[in-house]
Amino acid sequence: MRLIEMRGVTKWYSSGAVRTFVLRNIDLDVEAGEFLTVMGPSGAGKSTLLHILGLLDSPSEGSYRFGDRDVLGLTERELTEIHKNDVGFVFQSYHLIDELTVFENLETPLLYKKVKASVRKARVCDMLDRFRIVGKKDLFPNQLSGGQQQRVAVARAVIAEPRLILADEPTGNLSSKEGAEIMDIFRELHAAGTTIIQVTHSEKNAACGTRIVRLLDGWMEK
Amino acid sequence: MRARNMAAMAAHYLKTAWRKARREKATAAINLAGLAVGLACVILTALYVRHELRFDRYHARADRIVRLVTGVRGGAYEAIAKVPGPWGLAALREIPEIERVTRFVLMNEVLVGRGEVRAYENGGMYADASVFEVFSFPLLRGDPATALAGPGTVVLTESFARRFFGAEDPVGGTLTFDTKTDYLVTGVVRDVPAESHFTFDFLVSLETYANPMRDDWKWNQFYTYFLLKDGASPAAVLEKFPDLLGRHMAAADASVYDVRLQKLTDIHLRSHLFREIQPNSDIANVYIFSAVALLVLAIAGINFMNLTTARALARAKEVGVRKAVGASRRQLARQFLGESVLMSAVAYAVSLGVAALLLPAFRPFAGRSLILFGASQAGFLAALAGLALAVGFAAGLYPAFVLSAFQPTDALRGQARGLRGDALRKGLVVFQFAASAFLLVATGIVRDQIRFVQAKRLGFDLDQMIVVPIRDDAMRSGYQTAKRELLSVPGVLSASASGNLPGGSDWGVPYEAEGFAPDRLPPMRQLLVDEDFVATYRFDLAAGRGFSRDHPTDAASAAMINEEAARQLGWADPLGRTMAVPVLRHGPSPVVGVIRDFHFRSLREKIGPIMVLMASPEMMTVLSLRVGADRMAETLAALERKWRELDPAHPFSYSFLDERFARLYERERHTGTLLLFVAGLAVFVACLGLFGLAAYAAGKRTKEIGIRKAVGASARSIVVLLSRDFTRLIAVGYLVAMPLAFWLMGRWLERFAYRTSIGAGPFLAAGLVVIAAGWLAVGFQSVRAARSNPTDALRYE
Repeated sequence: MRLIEMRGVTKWYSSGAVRTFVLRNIDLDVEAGEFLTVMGPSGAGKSTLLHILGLLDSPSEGSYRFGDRDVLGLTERELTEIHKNDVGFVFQSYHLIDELTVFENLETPLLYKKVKASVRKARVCDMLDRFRIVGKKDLFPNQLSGGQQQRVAVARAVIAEPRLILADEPTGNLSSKEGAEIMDIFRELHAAGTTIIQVTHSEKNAACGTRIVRLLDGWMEK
Repeated sequence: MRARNMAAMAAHYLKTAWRKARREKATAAINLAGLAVGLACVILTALYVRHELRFDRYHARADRIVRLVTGVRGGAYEAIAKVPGPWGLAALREIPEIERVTRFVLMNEVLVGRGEVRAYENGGMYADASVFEVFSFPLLRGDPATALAGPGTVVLTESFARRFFGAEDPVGGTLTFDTKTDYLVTGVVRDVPAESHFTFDFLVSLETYANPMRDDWKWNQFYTYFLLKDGASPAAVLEKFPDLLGRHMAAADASVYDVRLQKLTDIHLRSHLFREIQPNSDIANVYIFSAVALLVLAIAGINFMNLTTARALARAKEVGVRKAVGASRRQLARQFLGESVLMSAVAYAVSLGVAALLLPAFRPFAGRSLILFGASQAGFLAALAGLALAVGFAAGLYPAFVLSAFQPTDALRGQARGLRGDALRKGLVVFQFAASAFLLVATGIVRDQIRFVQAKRLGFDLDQMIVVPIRDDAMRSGYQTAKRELLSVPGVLSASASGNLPGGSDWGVPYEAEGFAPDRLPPMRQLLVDEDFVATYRFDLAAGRGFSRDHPTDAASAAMINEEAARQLGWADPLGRTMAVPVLRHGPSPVVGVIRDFHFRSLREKIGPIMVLMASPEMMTVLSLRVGADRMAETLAALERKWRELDPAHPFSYSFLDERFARLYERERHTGTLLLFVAGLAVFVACLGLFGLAAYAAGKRTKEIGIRKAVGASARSIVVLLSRDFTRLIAVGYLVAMPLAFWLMGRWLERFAYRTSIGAGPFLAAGLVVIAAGWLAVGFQSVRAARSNPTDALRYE
């Protein structure tokens, strides 16, 4: 089953009369269950592509089908529904909410989904257990190491059981050992059937995936 | 289910907000303090305004009570607050819409005694027995129907009774007035609430009032109140008055009067007649202070909004994350709005504490009976709480809108583009400083005017003048002896007896002037004096001479006038023209002297025509003594000893003339103090906001500052760089406010017949204060930023 179908996606920024192209004419298909890696040097447009895939940003031109619907031109409310149910994000710098404990950070997506309190609690406990962070549940992000924070972030991304996980250099700020642990988690998720798209510089990480696409100056190498 | 989710959500937001506030203590404290001080200011002002608006409303039948007053055509005043005694009684008999009438006559200061306890009391009034049927003055002891029914009876207020009777039951006891007359206490009334346009310490039955003029149809001495029948309109009563007067008076006399009725509840704020029962306030004050309170509230609200919006940048990441995990814009907006409403609720609680702390300092000039907490205040405090929450809501709308509109990708990168509010924020800072500068200038001009009034040459010398009332009739008739005796006291330079004094107690009785028909005469006031008055007060003479013992006929047939009187009478050479005042037993009297114009009233009024006559001894009420400036205490002590010989029955009491004059401007002084108070708070709140904004601006430019320092910028140049923008905003605010202040305060000054010119002083002072305060607020942050280590700043990126 095809999850993503992108055709001719182009992204530019205008400053004055000058257009700076970030993505040029990208065609990309992703099947459900794939573990896709996007690679390329800095400034190639990887993060922008990931943001467009996650509907955090929109292309200047082109078409994008997610699942079986055209998702360009959706209302903000419909986009919110997709963020809530279908997509989970993992960022290079974790992006946990500093004022919330580990438990509360995990709970946040479920609150927005209006999940019942008892179910919420059970799901959070399940995640804490699965990601081996039970002992950290009452700590705040700044009391955790980078690897621990990223594990919380991954747990938060998957807690709502999205169809797609988007990870932007998830191991970029981590030591190699911590990074390896995160990649193990992604492998398990993939094995369980979740579709994953990751951006990375690391060939080793890329090797965990099933397919690699490369970007250079906004072009996708065929 | 839904409700439980909402509760969980609310708890989640609360946690975030509380932890955020704890982490950013300084910002949260500034935000809270600004709003709390602003709200405290509003609470106090609202307390004052509410107090003013509630006058006389406690009377159960307040809506049916009216006061009878009258305009006087061609009189010395436009309208007077009291009317002749028979008017009220006749109206009750002849006008069916009137259910009750009650009348009051003010009592002179009197020596009240019971055994050893003796004191001068000026809180007495004569009152009709019906007073307790018209007004809601509840009797704690005694029978309201009969308490003031007979002559020689007196009803005391609770606290007055306690002073003379302690814990004893006063009813049935007696008080001795002026050491000779005994009055029977027939009741005790609860103390008169402060929210009354008149108050009293004791009421003596009006039947006791033995003035020969009491039944005269033209002698305005009775404050007269009607209780109208249910549903009766004052207009219907009013239109029957011309006929009523016509039935009892000669047509020519009746036609002089222009009778009016005032609603009881309008008197305190809207009545400014001659001889008010007690000084009234002014609805203008209510408007001014309501406007000022709204201004301060706006300043505080803007602060709140500005600081919250400025902090939005720091929260951009949170917004991005929440959006990425599925928060809708509406949920985010609700979160931020909820935070600001919560903050305003906390600020309100704090502001109640601040207001309670400030209240004692506020009471002396805003109303001594003001209370903040109490059963009667519940509704008031709830309304203010509503206002506070509304301010939190309104001030939170904009930041909530901005924050929730962040593009998640930008927000996560920490460069929220939604922050175009810069121009708006700058505009709001300009407004705040314009408002602050305006309040400061207004305060300055009010103070200038008060100083002007007090420093103005009045046309006589009121320094070192002591005024001593004559209490004893024997002393009155032998006042020349008393004067001589007091003059023998070392330090007393000169002495004069008189029937009244400059400063508002002048009379206005009918007079005649050579060559004038009675209806063509200009209104004329009278001062009644002795031979030494002109010299003691140091009046300047424009022509002629003062009264003199060398001219024995001066006593009953000589007059002095001021220049204004000569002008209005059209007399180029007034000396030798004749005038007469039959009521004062002055037959045709040649003008023997012209006094240079002097201010015998407050400077709110233009100098009018006045004549000065010699009074017969029984009219003398007061001695004026000019004393030496040094050894004042000894002189006063010696005077008191001498007084005891002259009038052993009455303790010595005195006042300083300059203080009596200062009291004429009490209302303006209070307005000035109140304004200063509020303006100070406004500047404080505005600076607090600036302090927070400067911190934000410095934070936003951390990297720029780091780079500048890395390439060799001095700390001083960094401070200048950061202060420049804010200085410009403050300057613009100041410039906007100045013309407005100039115009509005010019309007205010028009209330005074004699007014200071608006000088540069208040404007310069206000400018200095706002700039200095602004720099202090910005400078602190700038210096901190300028002294930071550049590597820290650059590593931050």
